[in-house]
Amino acid sequence: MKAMKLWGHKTNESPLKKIVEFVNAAQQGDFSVTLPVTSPGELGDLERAINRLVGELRDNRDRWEEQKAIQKELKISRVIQSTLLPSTLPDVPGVEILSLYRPAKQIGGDYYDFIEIDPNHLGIVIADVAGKSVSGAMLMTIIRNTIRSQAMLTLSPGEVLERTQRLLLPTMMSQFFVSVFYAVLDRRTKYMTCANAGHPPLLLLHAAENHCEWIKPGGMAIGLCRNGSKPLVKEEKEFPMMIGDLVFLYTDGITDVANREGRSFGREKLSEIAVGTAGRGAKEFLSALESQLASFSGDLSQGDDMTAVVLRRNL
Amino acid sequence: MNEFNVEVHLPATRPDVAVIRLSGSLDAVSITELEKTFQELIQDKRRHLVVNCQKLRFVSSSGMGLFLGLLGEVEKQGGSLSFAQIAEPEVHDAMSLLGFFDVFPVYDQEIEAVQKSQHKA
Repeated sequence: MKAMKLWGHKTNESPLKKIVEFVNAAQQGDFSVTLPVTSPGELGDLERAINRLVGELRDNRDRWEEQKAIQKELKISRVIQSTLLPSTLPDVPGVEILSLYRPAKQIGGDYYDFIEIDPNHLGIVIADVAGKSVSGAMLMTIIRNTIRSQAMLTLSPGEVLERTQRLLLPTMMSQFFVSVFYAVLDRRTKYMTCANAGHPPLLLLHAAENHCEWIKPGGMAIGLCRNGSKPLVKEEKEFPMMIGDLVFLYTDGITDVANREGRSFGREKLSEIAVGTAGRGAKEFLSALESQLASFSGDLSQGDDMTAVVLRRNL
Repeated sequence: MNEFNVEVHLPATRPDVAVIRLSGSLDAVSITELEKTFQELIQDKRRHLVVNCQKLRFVSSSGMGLFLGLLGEVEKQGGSLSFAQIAEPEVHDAMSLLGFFDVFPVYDQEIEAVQKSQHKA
């Protein structure tokens, strides 16, 4: 709280003139002074009331300026974050790849990434940082860059997540954690190897049988266990993408979309849509998903970030 | 329908334990209320916190972040954080996916959680 100066006045000045001059100065935005209460009776009450009013105006202006500063910070973070998301989709002959990204707030906690590990291997990351706004965005930046750098050192997704956790834990604040699903696609064989740190399972549509499988390698979210009492090892799973197969990676902002009755969209609907659009492209799958999400949630506002990556093998 | 509500029960026989019964949806908005409750209980020397999830219908990732941050705080004071009666499959699934059950003790009954709340050696 700043110390207030008293409004300077001459002793022979009329009290009303003094009040008018004070109010005029306040109107110009000068809230740094307080009107001295010198008059008796009702005029004194008026001087006190004006001081209270100007005090409130001063507090409101301070709050507004704080908000303006926060908005400016958020804008900068948003710009930084938008540069972190891939600006183009990877080109893998025979595989159609699409993404969906809809942050719920000004700064989202989700991100996805494509990493060109080497000419034969593409890394695909989808993650959800618990803790939005500026601090969440900062953590996301660190996680993204750590995964990127580790991905260049090994083709084992489990090892990448394990090393990422090891590197990040000492600096992560206790209320933060990150769920990550990381997959490596072999461009030649279309084999996918994946590992999971507490993220929702990958959906795999087997086109030949037209049925879905949930691929869920075991592993805790990064940041969950800090005292070393649980192993960091991340299980790995591997599967081939056959012609027509569809792979869907997503964050819980999609499955948690709620309707008016408070029920969630759920995972089962994802597999129904995949089966329902089997034989068609990744684009048709995403369009069907978006339209079902919209009709399920009705006019309810989006509660969480929605992020997804879909791959479909065409050849 | 899914309005969030917190009810605190202070067991007479355990002045160091508090039971927090949650109902509705715990999301980014409702965590503020719960965070305040937790802080008040910790200041009141309730180091062992039992969260009863019987009527909890949804928990967002920010809600889980709150539990995680709280765990660090109570453990520093020799306390504990446990969960009881997780009834909603979606809540169970969300916690299980992240690996919460590897970190937090979970009990079928609230009374069992209260009895087993103690400082870890």
